[in-house]
Amino acid sequence: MDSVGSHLERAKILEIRDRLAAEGYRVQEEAPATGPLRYDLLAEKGGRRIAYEVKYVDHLRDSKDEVLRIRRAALEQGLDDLKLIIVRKPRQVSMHIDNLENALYEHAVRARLDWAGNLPAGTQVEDVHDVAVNSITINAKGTRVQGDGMITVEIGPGKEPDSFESFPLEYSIVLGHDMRIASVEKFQVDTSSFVQ
Amino acid sequence: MYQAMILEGVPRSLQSRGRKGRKAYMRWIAAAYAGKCGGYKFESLIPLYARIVIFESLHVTGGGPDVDNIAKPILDALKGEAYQDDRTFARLYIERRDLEDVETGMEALQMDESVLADALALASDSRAKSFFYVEIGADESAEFIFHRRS
Repeated sequence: MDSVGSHLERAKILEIRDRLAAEGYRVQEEAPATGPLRYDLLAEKGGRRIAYEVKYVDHLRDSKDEVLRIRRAALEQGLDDLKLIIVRKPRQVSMHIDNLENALYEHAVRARLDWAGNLPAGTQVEDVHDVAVNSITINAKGTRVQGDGMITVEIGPGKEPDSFESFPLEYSIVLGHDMRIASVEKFQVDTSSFVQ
Repeated sequence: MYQAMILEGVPRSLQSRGRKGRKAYMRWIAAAYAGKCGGYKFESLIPLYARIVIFESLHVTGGGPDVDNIAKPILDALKGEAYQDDRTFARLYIERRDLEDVETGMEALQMDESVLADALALASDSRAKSFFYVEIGADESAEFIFHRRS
């Protein structure tokens, strides 16, 4: 058994246990099933008994007979259901768009008055950073990119020198085939935390 | 009373192009039913339900066909094999579960052992990108999810 799979199984068991307990079930871990086999969880509520068996997908191949034996035990014990939960590692999707931070920065500089909100006049955009891409939609017209990030500004005259503030940013833009911004659907900076 | 089977592959859509492929697909479904369910034929007058659950790796299949287009080719394939008249179907339940999701659930007690064994074999086979569960039964109970044991 690999440790990542075992860890994922254990984490899922605890998650289900806590969820069931919050729903008012009495939950027993490692409840006896048959012989040495045990249900990962046995939940009881209102006379209804449901067993849970959690398997990491790569462990499932060697555990099929065990699952079937546990199923037979659940039937013999008159349980109401046996839920088999197959867990996997979360898929990691790598997304990178060339020049995205720079394109957002240039838009922020060009359109400062549109998003600056309550920031004093003269505030300068310093940087757009920690940009995350939450979704990409590609069609013939271009690439719509939605996500969030941070924008750092230097607060305008009247504040101390080197007075930088960072604010969260949400954006939705359409990139043309030259990967430049063709249109901006949303460029929203939350400056509510700024106090003059 | 119900019959159930697991089939490997992506279910074909009603909208799929190619009559030849559609016929081959329906013959395959009918043959699978004959093999896995012994060709059991439901009485013509009792109301029936059908449940279809598609397990698939959505990032590989791209989501496969729309669920609302999946049922008809399957039920058409089983006409004459499992039942006589479409109008006996009182209920139809279709769902899709992503095999690549961090969590996929199966109601193991409600599935026959042989069907569950097929499902486990495919769920643990990294080459199997899609399989689907088909269940047809007498619509005599509100509890028909993977059917109740008797």
